[in-house]
Amino acid sequence: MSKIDIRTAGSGTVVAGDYGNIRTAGSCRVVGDITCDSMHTAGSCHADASIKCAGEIKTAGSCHISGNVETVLMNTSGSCHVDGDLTADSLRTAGSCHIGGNINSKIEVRTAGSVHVGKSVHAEKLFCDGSLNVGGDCEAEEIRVCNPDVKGMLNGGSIEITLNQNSRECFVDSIGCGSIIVDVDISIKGKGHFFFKKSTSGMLTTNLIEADDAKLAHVRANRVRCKTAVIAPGCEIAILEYSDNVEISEEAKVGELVKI
Amino acid sequence: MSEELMTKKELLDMFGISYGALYRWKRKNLIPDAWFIHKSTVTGQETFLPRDRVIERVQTIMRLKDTMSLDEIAESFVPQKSAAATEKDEIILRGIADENQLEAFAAASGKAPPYRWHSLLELAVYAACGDYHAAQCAADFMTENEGEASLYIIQKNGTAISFCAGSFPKSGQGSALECRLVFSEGCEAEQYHLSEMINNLNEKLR
Repeated sequence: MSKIDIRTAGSGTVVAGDYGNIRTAGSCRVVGDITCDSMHTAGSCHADASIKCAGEIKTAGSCHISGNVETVLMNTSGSCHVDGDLTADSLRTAGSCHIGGNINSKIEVRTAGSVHVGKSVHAEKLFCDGSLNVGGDCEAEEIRVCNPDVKGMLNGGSIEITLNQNSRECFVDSIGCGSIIVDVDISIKGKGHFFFKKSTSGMLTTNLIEADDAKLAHVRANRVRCKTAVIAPGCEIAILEYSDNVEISEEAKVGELVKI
Repeated sequence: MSEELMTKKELLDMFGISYGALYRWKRKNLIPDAWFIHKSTVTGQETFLPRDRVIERVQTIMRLKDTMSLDEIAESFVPQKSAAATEKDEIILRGIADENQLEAFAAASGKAPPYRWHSLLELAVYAACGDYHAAQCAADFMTENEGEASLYIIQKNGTAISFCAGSFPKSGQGSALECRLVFSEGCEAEQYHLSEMINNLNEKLR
């Protein structure tokens, strides 16, 4: 028996079931867990449910899902709120995205705007343009983020963190990686931007960085352990342990330097 | 369970590996999150690893990494993720249960071999305690949670109550469950360490 496609316009309700393609425009309510081949919502969608999708979930406008989401592709623009876990091969968000549980992605997470994750993020690639706030650990092979706030560990193969004028103070509990580069946004480097005074970017504060290679600027750390390090101006590092070589700018503060 | 601990630095030096490699193995679950133990020291918060277990694990990883992918190696450490089922002869051969226990289990559970990992755990607990419903409860509990846990069976006047309790650390942070049990006269209580039973079962399945 072929699955039913659903199309709602204006105000509509989708009840629990197994569907083909779901298209909603206007205000849509989902009541009960659903599985589907694809789901596109435009306008406001409120699901008191978990959703399992074999293809793409695309939301535009405001979307609130109280359960878990499991899908191949997830593409959100506007505000998207999932109370449970989000599992997707690929997640793209533009706007504000709030996941109460974990994000598990086999391929990539690409966000523009603000992202708030209650628990942990596991992905192959994590590219966030905007803010990233994670309640647990954040792990990916390749990480490129701005202004991260991570209560657990930031664990990546290669990590690139850019601090810009919105960064205030960012906090990451600990960082473990192959290579890490922390730098300020190039547009506010140097003598100062037209409207902003020089170095209005905040600091990245962390307890511990353990890396093979570290290139740090505007980092405040209790301890850094690495093979090689380049410590640029704006850094305040209490203890720096290195095994191969280290380059420290005169405008950086390193409390204790230890070769191991 | 107090176990000798080592620092990450000691591990890296011992095997000539880098932080990049260690953290990649942590991401891929080759070294479980629960093995990274936070403790306060004079130098501040430090992370330690269980010495014997992590040395054995890294030796295995180093041996296998040229012939298997990291994902394949990770799966081999977690038999419960494997879809393979074990036949009756294999179960007896590996010392998981004997003929009599298998027959009793099949009758109690209504399931015949071959058994997947979840049923093998039920079988192992049933062989230890003789109560199928308790074994079922324990297997379900340990499938949902990963950590140190025990099955408790309390009996009085022919009535048994069984429950599971455990402590399940979130990654990097310790957590402890305090549980006080008070038994009135005429009560018998048995405790079965489920995490140990799981380790034994996985050892036998390797």
